[in-house]
Amino acid sequence: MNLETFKSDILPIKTKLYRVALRITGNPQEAEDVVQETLIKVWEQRQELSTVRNIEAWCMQLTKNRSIDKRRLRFNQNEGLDGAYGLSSSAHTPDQQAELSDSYLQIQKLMQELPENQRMAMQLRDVDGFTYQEISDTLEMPLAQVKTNIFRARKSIRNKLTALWTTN
Amino acid sequence: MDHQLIRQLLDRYFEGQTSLEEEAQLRRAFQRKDLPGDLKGYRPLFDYLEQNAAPELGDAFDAKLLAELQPQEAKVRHLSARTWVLRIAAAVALAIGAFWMYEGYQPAQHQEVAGVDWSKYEVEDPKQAFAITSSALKRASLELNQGTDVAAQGFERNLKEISRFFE
Repeated sequence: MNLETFKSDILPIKTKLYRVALRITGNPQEAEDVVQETLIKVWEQRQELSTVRNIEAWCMQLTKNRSIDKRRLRFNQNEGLDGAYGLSSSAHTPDQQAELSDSYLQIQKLMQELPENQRMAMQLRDVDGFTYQEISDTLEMPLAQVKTNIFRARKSIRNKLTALWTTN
Repeated sequence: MDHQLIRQLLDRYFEGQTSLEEEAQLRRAFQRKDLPGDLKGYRPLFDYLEQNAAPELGDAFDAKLLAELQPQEAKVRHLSARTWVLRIAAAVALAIGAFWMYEGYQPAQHQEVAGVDWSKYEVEDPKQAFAITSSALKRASLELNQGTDVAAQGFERNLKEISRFFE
């Protein structure tokens, strides 16, 4: 593989890799580093790529494992796991923004309460637009398990949301 | 999309039966301002999903990555050129070695041949020469006949085995 083939065949999956890294690390800079390290590794192993059945899935797994390592390292350094990614303001008035942020935080809390496998599967599907097969390859989880996790995650969010409406 | 259709799509979404395209339709539908009360409660969920999308990695990322990769490619090319030189050198050394061995082997053979004085065994009497030649030819003929007999016997044996197999 030469540099031109790398640019045309491998580089375009950077966005998907970044989304996976971001979901796991919760930190944009760290996620970017993970993607860069992963792609450098792919380049270094380009002679062996012909033996890889599904290069994209293989890259996803490399990214996932590297992201978990980074997160574990940060956790061990007592920096904690920050799940606040995504609290950016958009085109809303300050009043709307305040209201939106409250509801946003509420949903985020519900998402954080989900078991990790359910949360990851739901985020990759509903936020990042991955297919069930891509989620299965990335999380190294059977397809049926992916669908079950997404179903349970959405059901749990719905139940908690309706419970919140009745209490408010 | 009317409200009833949104409700149906929403139920299918929570049952895990929607496609990616239908899920995108649902997110767009929840951006509308005219949602009825029973649907409005779900808007924060779809806002969250919409806003939580990861940003794109732009051209700056590509430039940084490619700057990391290009020196590696140059290094690989340099190593590759050196490898070729080493390969050619090894091939030349092998050819020289083979030539040297061949040359070294030939004189030894000549010496051995030169050491035998064949003139001692040379037949000078024509009658004796004829007798020796006839005897050698007869022996060769006998050996050849025996060889065809052995081959014919082997062929017959194999033919019998094959016939038995098909029976």
